[in-house]
Order: sequence, then structure tokens, then C-alpha cells
Amino acid sequence: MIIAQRKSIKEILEMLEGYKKILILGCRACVTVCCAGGQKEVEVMGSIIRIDRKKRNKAVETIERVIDRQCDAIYFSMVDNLIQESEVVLSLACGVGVNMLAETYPKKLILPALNTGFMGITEEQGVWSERCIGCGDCILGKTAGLCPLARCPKGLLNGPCLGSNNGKCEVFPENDCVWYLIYKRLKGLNQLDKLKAIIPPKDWAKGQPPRKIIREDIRL
Amino acid sequence: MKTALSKGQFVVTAEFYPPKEANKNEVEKRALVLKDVVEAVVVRDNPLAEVHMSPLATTTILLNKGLKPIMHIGIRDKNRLAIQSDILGAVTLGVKAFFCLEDCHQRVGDNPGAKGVFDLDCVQLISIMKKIEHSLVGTRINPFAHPLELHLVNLSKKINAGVDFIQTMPVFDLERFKEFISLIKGENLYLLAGVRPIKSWQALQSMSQMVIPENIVQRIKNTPENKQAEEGIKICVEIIKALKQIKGVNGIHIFAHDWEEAVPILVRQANLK
Amino acid sequence: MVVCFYCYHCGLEERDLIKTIPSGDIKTNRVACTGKIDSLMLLHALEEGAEQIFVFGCPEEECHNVTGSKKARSRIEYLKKILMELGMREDSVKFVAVPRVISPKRYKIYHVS
Repeated sequence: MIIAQRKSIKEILEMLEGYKKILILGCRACVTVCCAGGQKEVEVMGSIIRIDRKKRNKAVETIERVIDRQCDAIYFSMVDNLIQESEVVLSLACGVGVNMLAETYPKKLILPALNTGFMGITEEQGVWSERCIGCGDCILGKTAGLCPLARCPKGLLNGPCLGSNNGKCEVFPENDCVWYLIYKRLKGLNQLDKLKAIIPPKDWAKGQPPRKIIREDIRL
Repeated sequence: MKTALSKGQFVVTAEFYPPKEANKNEVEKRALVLKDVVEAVVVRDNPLAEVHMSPLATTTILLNKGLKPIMHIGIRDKNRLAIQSDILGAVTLGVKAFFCLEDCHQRVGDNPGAKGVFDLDCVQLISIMKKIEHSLVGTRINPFAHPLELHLVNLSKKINAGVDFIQTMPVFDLERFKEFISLIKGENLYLLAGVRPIKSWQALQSMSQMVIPENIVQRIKNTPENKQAEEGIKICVEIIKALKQIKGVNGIHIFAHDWEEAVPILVRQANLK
Repeated sequence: MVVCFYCYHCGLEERDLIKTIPSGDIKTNRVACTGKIDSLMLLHALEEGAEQIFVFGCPEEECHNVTGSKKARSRIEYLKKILMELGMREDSVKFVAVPRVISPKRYKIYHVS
């Protein structure tokens, strides 16, 4: 799941300065799960914008909507007329959604309300952490399903580092050292020989933007 | 240094931090303090994630002053192209001894917003360094880390990659160190035990990550401030003498990059020359 | 305008609150638990013209629903950050702990958090 969080209010209000008809568009997918861009957050955003303008005696019209996803243009049809009629669309989707809106409505100003962070999980309500960096060449079969690129701040493929101690990370002491977790899991699975195998340098050609995947068998 | 180790000599190396400014004179001055005192120095690459003069430039100056450098190449700041370029440059200038360890993360240093590269890790880098004919490659280990099995598995990978010697983080607890030695005896590599002279009670506070027995802490604490450095040297000499007696220890690595004058004193008092 | 939210269990009555504002420009909202209160409710109150919002609830150790008043406080803390970014006074919204059992003499004394 993509985890994002709202930009600072200051930054958002500055971006919106001068615009009088704002469509605040949320998304029901990832950003709803991480409480950044769903129904609730759209309403809060609307209220914040209106309070700000009222305080400064400036007019504003806000329209609040949430659609299923913003990473597929097909869902824009439900709000197409609202998009056309607004001066600016403040998107509360992840960066993918913002890009999609911009590509679909080249003449419309699209602004991002969120800072998109990472691919991760919900550890508990209110806490989300990174689990995958999308490196394009998955090694999870070698590391008992735990990703060192996503969880080791030094991205070591042959960890742990010199500073790992008592199962904790040298860089973020409140975190477990992922190589300690991998070691424990492999040991429990009786597969410690996987820890002993040297993992060669990564082929980053598969892991850098701009990336595209094409399936000719599926294309129309 | 390779020759000295293979002859069974007790080798002494020291940690060397390049200056934080473009200062040739400082490097030369410090080289003179260490020359003929230690076998070689490990020239660190942006240690503590703080910008220092490049190890390649520093190494060149040290070579000119007759001091043997072991060039550290960091994994945090360079990708595999830049690293190989540095290795080629170093070899051209006469450096055949290299060092690597898992560097401090950039967030603890003076450029916390920098992008950490980490294109290669130490195991992979050691393989590359060993491609240089007749090279001598070293790395570092914490002999007091827990669980030790995890770190020993990592060490075995570094040995498979071809590492020639390891240095340990500073040793104060000799009993625990002996436990570590017993676990790695028989491994095909040279071991240099790390030592660090305690300069003062204040300096001791910044060493809280290290395993230091209470009696040593008390010795420094109970010494008047103006005598603490002397006591620190005394303790270090005792440790060096004890390490020299341990089978499997091929030398020592002195961590005194912020107190270089202590190095010749330690070498002399511990009868290492 | 002053807007008050108060929970069912904290022992306050509407007339107690109305008495505290001489001008009478006060709006009261009773909730089953302050745990129900969230940023949106408070923001709507501010939009409707509230200059000061009080949330009266049980002290943390006495919340009838155990964690309700704790949640209210943490949400108010979060909202305060938004208020500061909007250039509003941080104390425009205040949580006030009111002990559950109060005597008629004590209702004038508030423990301001």
C-alpha cells in the first residue's frame, strides 16, 4: 500500500492563494487506509481552507468529492464536470493520482495536497512503515521474506553492519535490525545457509526510474 | 605490512582521520609523529559521516612522507564506478592496502540531507578490492556485538570474499575478548585487536557504546583531572601487553585519531618496537 | 461565540455552562463521551464562528469509557498544530478536565489542562 501524509497547511494554502473555486478531490484507496486523503481528510481540508479565507476576508468556493481511485482515468468520469468547472483541483491522492489527473486534464491546474512516502504496511492504527522500495529484482526468497533494502538504512545486501547490536539498528535505535530479524527467521526455518551465501551487487538498471512494464499478450 | 604479518611480527597500526580542511601541512606534520612508530595507518574516508579531505589525496601526501597507508574506501558516498576509479587511482600511486567497513549513516554527520549511496556493501567491495593483485584488504568487527553468531556469519562471508585481516573495535574487557578469540580461531585471517587510550573522564563519557569494565571506569574517575591522561595511557599499555600474550592476536590497531601524540608513547611504553 | 462540548459523565449540566458566559453567546453540545469529538467537529465549530471552544471531559484516569478523554486530548493536540498553521491562537480549543463527582460548591473550579 502507498503511504502518504498531508503537506503542511502553510504550503497547501500558499499553493491555493488566489484561487476562488477549488475542487478538493480525495481517493478511496491507499490514502484512505493511511488516513491522509479519504473522505474525512477531504472534509477537514475543506474546513481549513474556508476558515483561512474567512479570516482574511477572501472569498472561496470549495467542492469536496472522493472517487474510488485517481490512478485510473476511468474514475474521473464521475467528477469530470466538476473538474472542468473548477479553477484548480487539490488532489488528496498519492503522487500517481496527481500525475494521472495532470495527464488527463492538461489545461487544468492540479495541485498535490500530500507528500507521497513509501510502500508499506499498517503496523497498528496510526503507524505505517516501509516494507518495499520497488527495486525491480526481488530477493525476498533469500532473506526469509524480509527486505533489507526497505528496512536497512544502509541498504546492505550482506548485512548486518558493524553497529548492529542486541538486535537493534545502529542508525534508528528504536528499530529492530532487519538483518537480525532475517537471521532469526532463517535460523527458525533451518535455512541459515541462505544467510551464509554472498548476495552479489544489485542490478539497479531494473530499479531506477523511469520504469515501464509491457505485456504484449494483454495489449489490445 | 603484508610481509610483517606473514613473518609473524606483532604489527601496530593506527587510525588516521584526514583533516577537515584543505591542509597539506597538517597531514605532513601528523605523518612525522606516526612515521617509524607504526607499521601503517588506516586513512579514513569521511569518518562519522563528516566531510574530510579525500583519502586518496591524503594517502598521496602520506606516501611522500614515508608513512604506509591502508586506504579506506567508504560505501556510503560512492557508487561502484567511483569506488573502482578510486582503487585504480590508489594503485597507480602505490597503494595496495585497502580497508572497508559499514560506514556511519549520513544522518549522523554534517550533511544529514545527503543521499546515501550504498551501491556496494563491504562483502561485495572486498571481492572487488581483492581483484587487485597482491592487495591486502582489511575490515572491522565489533567482538562484543550480540548476537555474535550473526556477526560471525557476516565475517565468514568477508573471509570468503578474500579479506586478509580484521581489526576489532577497542578492547577493554579482556575476558570477553578471549571468548571472541576462541570462536574465530582457525579462521584464515590476521587479527589486530583495537585499543583506545582514555584521555579524560569527559572523553570516557563519549565512549558509552563501548564495553568497558567497571574497574577501568573507576580508575579514571578516581584520578585527579590533571593525571587522567596519564592513567588512560597506563591502562591502555596494560591492555596492549595482555593482548600481546593472547594466541591468535597478530597485532594491535590504535584508535587515537584525536590524540595522536599518545601513539608513540603507547608504542614505547608497551615495548612494541 | 463560545462553543462547549461536554460529556455525559463529567458531572456538568448545561445551565452550569451557560452561567459562565455573561453575554449568553454560548453554544453547548452534549456528547456521550468526549472520545466522539474529532478534528472535523471542532473545525466546523470554528467555521460557524466560534472564537473559543471548550471540551469538558473526564480526567484521564476517570473516563467512563476508559480511553475516551485521552483520545479527545490527543486529537485536540493534533488540531492545535493545524490552528497554529492557520495563524490562530493555540488555545482557541481547550480540553478541561472536570472530576466526575462534583459538589455544587466546586463547579466553579476548573482544572485547566
